[in-house]
Amino acid sequence: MAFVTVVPVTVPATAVAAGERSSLAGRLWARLVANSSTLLTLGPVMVLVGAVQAVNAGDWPAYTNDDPGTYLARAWAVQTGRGAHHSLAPYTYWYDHVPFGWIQIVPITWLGQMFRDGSSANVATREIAVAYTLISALLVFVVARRFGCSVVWSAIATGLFGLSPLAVTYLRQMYIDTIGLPWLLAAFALALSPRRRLWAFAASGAAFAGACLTKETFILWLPALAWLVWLRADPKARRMYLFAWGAVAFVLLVLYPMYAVLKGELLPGKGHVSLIGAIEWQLSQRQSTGSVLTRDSKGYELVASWLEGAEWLWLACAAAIPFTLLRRETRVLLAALGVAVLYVLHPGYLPEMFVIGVVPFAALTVACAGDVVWKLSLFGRGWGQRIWRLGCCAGLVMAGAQFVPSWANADEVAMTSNESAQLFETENWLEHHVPRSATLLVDDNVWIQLVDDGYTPDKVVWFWQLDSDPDVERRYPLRWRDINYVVITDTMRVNVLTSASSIPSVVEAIGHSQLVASFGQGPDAFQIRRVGKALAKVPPVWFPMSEVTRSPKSSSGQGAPE
Amino acid sequence: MVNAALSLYGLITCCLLAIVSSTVWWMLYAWRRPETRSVADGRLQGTSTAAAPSFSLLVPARHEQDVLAATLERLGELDYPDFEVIVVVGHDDLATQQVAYRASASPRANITVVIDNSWPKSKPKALNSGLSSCTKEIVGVFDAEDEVSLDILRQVGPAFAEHGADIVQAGVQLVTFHDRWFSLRNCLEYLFWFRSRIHAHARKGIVPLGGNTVFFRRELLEQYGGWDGECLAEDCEIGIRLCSRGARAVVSYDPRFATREETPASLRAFVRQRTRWSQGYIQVFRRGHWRMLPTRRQRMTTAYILLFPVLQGLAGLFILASVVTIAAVKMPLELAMFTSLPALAQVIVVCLEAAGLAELCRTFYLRCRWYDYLLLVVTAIPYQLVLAFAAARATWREVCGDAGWEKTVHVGAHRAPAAQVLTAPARLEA
Repeated sequence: MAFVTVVPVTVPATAVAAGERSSLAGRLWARLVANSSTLLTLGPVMVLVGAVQAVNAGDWPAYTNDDPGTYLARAWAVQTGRGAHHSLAPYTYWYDHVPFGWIQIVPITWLGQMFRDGSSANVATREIAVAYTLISALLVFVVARRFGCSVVWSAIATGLFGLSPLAVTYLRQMYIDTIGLPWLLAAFALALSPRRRLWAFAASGAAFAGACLTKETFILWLPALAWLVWLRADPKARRMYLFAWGAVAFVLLVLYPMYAVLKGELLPGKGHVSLIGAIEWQLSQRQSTGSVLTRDSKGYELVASWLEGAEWLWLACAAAIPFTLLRRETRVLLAALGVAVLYVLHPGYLPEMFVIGVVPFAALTVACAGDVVWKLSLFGRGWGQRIWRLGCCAGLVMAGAQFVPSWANADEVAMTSNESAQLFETENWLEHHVPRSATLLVDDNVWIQLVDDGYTPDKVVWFWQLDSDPDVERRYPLRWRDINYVVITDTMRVNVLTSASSIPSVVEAIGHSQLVASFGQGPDAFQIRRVGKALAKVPPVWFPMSEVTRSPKSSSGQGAPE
Repeated sequence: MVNAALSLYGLITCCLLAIVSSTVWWMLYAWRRPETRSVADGRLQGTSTAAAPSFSLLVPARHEQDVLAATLERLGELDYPDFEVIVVVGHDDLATQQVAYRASASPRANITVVIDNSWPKSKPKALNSGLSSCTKEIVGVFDAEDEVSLDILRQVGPAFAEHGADIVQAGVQLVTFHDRWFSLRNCLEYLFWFRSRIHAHARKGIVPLGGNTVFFRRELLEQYGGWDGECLAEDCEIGIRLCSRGARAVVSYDPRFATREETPASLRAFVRQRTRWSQGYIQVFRRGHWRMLPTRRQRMTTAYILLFPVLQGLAGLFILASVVTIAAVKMPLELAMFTSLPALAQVIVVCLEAAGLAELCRTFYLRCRWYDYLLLVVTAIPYQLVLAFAAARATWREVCGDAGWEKTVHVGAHRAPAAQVLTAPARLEA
C-alpha cells in the first residue's frame, strides 16, 4: 500500500530513573575510548595541517590583495558601531558582498581584542583565516566519514584539503570564501547526519544559508546539496524533509534583501546605493576575465595557476570521479564539481578565490573513490583481498612519491619565507613620520592597520571610495586636492593599471605627488608620496602619466573586493 | 517613553516568536526522526490476535436527519464481534428521532435509541444520557456525520489490551478541502493535529481529546461522572480531567482507519465552531483540573495548550500588525529586522503546510492540483484573520459569561457520491 507515513501509537513516556543516566564525564570518557582510532588517525593529520597553515602565516603570502583588510575593516565598523549610519562598513555599504562574513568574525575580534593591543591587524586576518581553515579541515573529515569512508581515507581527505600549496596560499588569506567554507561543509555534514533527524536537515538549511550569506557564490552548491537532502531524507516523508530544509534556508536568505528593503535600498535610485544595482554591476558591468579556454586571457592565467598549485589533487580528482558514481550518495560530488567547472568555463568575471570552495570537494572525491577502490574485492575475500590491498598501498606510495616532495617544498617556503616586510615597513614608517592629522589615501590593508593604531577613520580614505562613496565625496569635495599622502601598494598599483577610469581621483593624486619614502626594489616597490599641486617629478615607473590632467575629472564607478 | 515603547515591541516580538516556534515544533513532531515511524510500522502488524474488548458506540445526533441514516448504516457494518450502537437524540428533534428509530428497526445492527430530555441541549449532556444505557466494556464516541472506517474497532480494541490504555484517541481527518476557501487549511489543521501534534502531547501524558473516534473504559467514565455538561469543549475537558487523575491516554493514528469528516459548510459555521472550541479551551483552563497533573512541566504545558487557540489567534493578528508597522513606521533598522522574524517563521509554517498538503493527498487518495498550493499561500492571511476573530469572540463571550452551544450544521459533503447513491435507497426502504 502506498501510505506515506504511519504513526499508529503514542503512549505516555515513562520517566527514566536517575540511576540509569550515567554522568557526563563518564559518557565523555566512554566516547573518547570508543573513538580512539579516529583520534589517533585524525590527530596527527590535523596537527600537520595546523602547522603548515599556521606557521609563518603572517608573513607569507604577501598582502597583494586588500580584500582581507576590507573585511576586517568592516568587522571593525560593526564592532565599534563607527560605520556610516547603521552601515555594515566604515563607509557606505553598497551591497558588493553579503555581510555575514564580517559580521560573524566580530565575536572573534572582540574576544581576541584584536582592535586594542599593538599587534598587527593584517596578521590578525591571517590568524582568523587559519582558525576557519582548521574548522573546515575537521568538517572535511566529518563529511568524508558520513559519505562512508573509513577513518584513514577521511583523514587523507583532510590532508589533501589542507596541505596543497594552493590551499596554503588561498586559505591563509581571510577571504570570505575561507570564512564561508565551514558553513558550506557543515551543511553537507548535517544533510549526511546518520540518524537523519529532521532537525539536522533544518540545520543543514540554516548552515547553507549561513554559507550563502557569507559568500554569495556558494549558492552554486545548491543543486548538489538539494540532491543530497533528497537522497538522505526519509523516503516516506521526503517532501517534509526537503521543505523543512528549504524553508529554513529560504527564510534566512530572505533577511538579506529584506535589509535592503528596510533601508530603502533595494531598487536603484538617485543618491543612494542599491542591492539590485550592485547585482547588476557584479553580473554585467564587471570586467570579464575572458574565456579560460583562450590563451592569454586573465581567466586562463588564473585557472592555470590554480591547476599548478595543486596539480596532483586535480589529476587524482579527475581519475576518481568514475568511482564516486559507484555509491549512491557520493554521486552528489560529481554535481558539486560539475557546477564548479561550468562556472569556471562561463565567460565573464571569474573571482580568483573561487577555487577555495572547490578544493574540499576535490579532496572528498579523491578520498571517497580511494575508499571504494580499497574496499573492492575483485579477487574474492581472504588472500585475494590482501593482495589487492597490498597493490593499493603500492599505488598510494607511488602516487605519494610523485606529489609529496613538491608539496613539501612549496609548503616549506610558505612556512619560512617572508614576503610581507614591505607592507609592515610601510605601515611602520607611516606611524612614525606622518602626523595623525594628515589625510591619507590607502588600500584597505593599510587602512585597518592605521585605524587600529589610532588614526581617525575619517582621515584615512580607502582609495576606491574617493570616487564612488557619496559620504567620502561630501567630506572631500575637492577630491584628490584634499589628500595629503597617497600610499601605493600592490593593490593600488594593480587597480590603477586595470581600472584607472573607475578611480580618476586616485590617478590624479598619484600624478600630483612627490616621493617621500619607498620600500622594496623595482616597479613593485611600495611608495609613500606627498600630494601637492605640482605634477609628479618622478612618477612610479609603471604609472600612466598620460591619464593625468590638470583638472579633476568627474566620473562614477565602484570598486569592490573580489 | 520611546524606549519603553520599543522595548515592549521587542518583548511582544519575542512572545510571537515563541508561539510560532512551538507551532512549528508541534507540527513537525511526528516527522522529527525516522526511527519512530519504522518502529511504529512494525507494531501495526498482527493487531487482530490481541484480546477483543466489547464496545458501546455513542452517537449523539441533533437535527442531523440528513446524514444520520448513512452513519448508522455504516456503524452497523463495522467488522467486529461484539459492539452496540447507541443513538442519542433530543426529545424535541422528531425528524432525527424518526431516522434513528428506522435504523434501529433493522435486524442487522444492534442499535438502541436514547432520548435526551435535558435542556438546554448540548453534546456532553447527550453523551451523559447515552452513557447510562451503555453496557459494554469500552465506550466510543462518533458524531452523526462521521464516515467511520469499518476496521476502526479492530484497530482500537487491541490498543486497550496491549498498551494498558484507559483512553484511546484514533485519527479524524477532514477531507472536503475543495468545499470553501478555508476548507483546505481546515483539513491541514486536522492533519497536523492528529498526525503530529496530539502525539507530542500524548508523549507528555496530556491529551486534549478530539470530539469523536475517541474511546474510554466505561468504568472510568462512570467513576468520574462522565462528561462536563456545561463545557463547550467537553472532549478536551474530559481528556485533561482524566489525564490529571492518572488515566493512561494512548493516541493511535493510522490514516487507513481515520474517521472522515467534512469541514463546516459556511464561514459563519466555521467561525462558530472555532469560537466554541476556543471558548471551551478557556473554560477547561478555568476549571483548573490540570493543576492536579503530577509534574510542573506537565502543568505548564497544559496551561499553554489550553490557552493556545486564543494565543494563536492573537499571534496571527500581531504578526500581521508587525508587518504593517515595519512598512509604515520609521524604526531602528535592527528592531525592524528583529520584528520581521515571527513573520518569516510564519513563512516556514506555510512551507511545511504545503508539504503536509502533499502528504494529505497521497495518504487519503485525494486529488490535489497546483492551484491548491497557491490557495494555501493566498489563504494564509485571511485564515489567520478568521482565527483571530474567533479567538477574540471566544474571549469576549467567556468574559460576558455567554456559554450557549452553537452547533455546526452538517450536509454530508465528505461522503463519496457512490456511497450516497447506495445509502439513499436504504433510507427509503427503512
